Amino acid sequence: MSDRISELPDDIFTNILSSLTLRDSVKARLLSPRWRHISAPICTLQFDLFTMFGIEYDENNGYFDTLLANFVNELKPRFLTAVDQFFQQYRAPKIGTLKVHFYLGNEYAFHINNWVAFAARMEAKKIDFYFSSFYQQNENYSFPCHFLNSHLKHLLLGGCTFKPSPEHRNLLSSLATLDFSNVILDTNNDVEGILSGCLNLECLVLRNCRLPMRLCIHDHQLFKLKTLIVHQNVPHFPEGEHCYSLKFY
Amino acid sequence: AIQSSRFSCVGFPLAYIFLACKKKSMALKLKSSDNKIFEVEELVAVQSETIKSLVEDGCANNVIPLPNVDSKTLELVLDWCKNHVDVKLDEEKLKEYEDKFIEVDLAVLYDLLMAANYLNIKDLLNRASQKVADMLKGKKPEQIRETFNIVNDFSPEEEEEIRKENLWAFEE
Repeated sequence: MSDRISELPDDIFTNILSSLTLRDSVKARLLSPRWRHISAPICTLQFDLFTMFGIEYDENNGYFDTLLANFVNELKPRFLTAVDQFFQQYRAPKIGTLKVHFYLGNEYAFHINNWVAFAARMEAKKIDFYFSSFYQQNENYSFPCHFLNSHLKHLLLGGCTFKPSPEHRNLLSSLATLDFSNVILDTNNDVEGILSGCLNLECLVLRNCRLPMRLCIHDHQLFKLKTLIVHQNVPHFPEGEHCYSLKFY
Repeated sequence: AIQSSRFSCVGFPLAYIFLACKKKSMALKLKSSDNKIFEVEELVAVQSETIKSLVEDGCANNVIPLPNVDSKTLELVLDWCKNHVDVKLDEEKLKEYEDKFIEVDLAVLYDLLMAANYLNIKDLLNRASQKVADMLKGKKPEQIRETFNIVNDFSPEEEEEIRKENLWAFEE
């Protein structure tokens, strides 16, 4: 029987490839030249313990699991090289979302900054980083705000530091979603200063971010805001707030 | 006088066709590449976006030729469509049907992929693609080549290069 699978037209071919995990679709490059140079249309590039190593885990329960901690520490260099390698090989098409959930801190900023630069080059609409650490011994990864651009609409950060300098605040204006969990914000707790740059923000989520005691969200700043979720902190709302759905915990 | 009589002459069949179209589900005639005619309900056939647009453009009054689909494949495809007309069908039963339907040998699977792509039937295309993907999943390149008769025309050096470039994916 002849090799009919390699003769299938491009759109069927990519449809098959997009049903595979990242690992299997990369492995398929070795099959023949036809397979090497075709890539599936990727909406979401996702790197975590499962997509890279096939390990199923519960993100929230892993913190004090020493077995997992040792295991992950061994995997870390492989994870970093794998993601670096993947981006080096990756040409087109553009990506929608870059999602990285792993146990990383600022000591790997060199790698992670390159990933953010990659997302910027690929005109990604959404960046979703969730970095846990086992014993909190490492410094949080500090997100490089100068990579913010008009394509990026949704920024989801967990276990990072986010301190845009005043000259970078105008870069926040294209963001529609800002979703922070365990994020260390501006040193002077100038959250309002950060928010003043977010002119087009529609969804703001702040979970366990060390917020100031009193946080004012003004409707003339965030006039497009539709969803506001603040966990563990109760914000003070001025009169005439333009929020359509408010959720409190 | 001549004009009006011509009108009355043509008027009747036009109205008749119009009424026939209005009927809930008209029968369509599809012709396979090997010239077999399949008579199917419109509701079944229009799951193919390709046929649907023909019907909407009013090009479906006669036999619709499908020169890219043979009768064996068309029969299978129409069976799939018949089972996907009733959206209220039990989800479990539908899955059972789909799983059984897709248990075919490779040659048939390719035919289904090509037909689903040509006729633009999304759910069939996705299910057939998924089936192929399942056969690739977690396999070594050598195994995959054997299953699909893929000729490896990489030189050992090229193969080494690809392995090196994507080292992480090949590590066990």
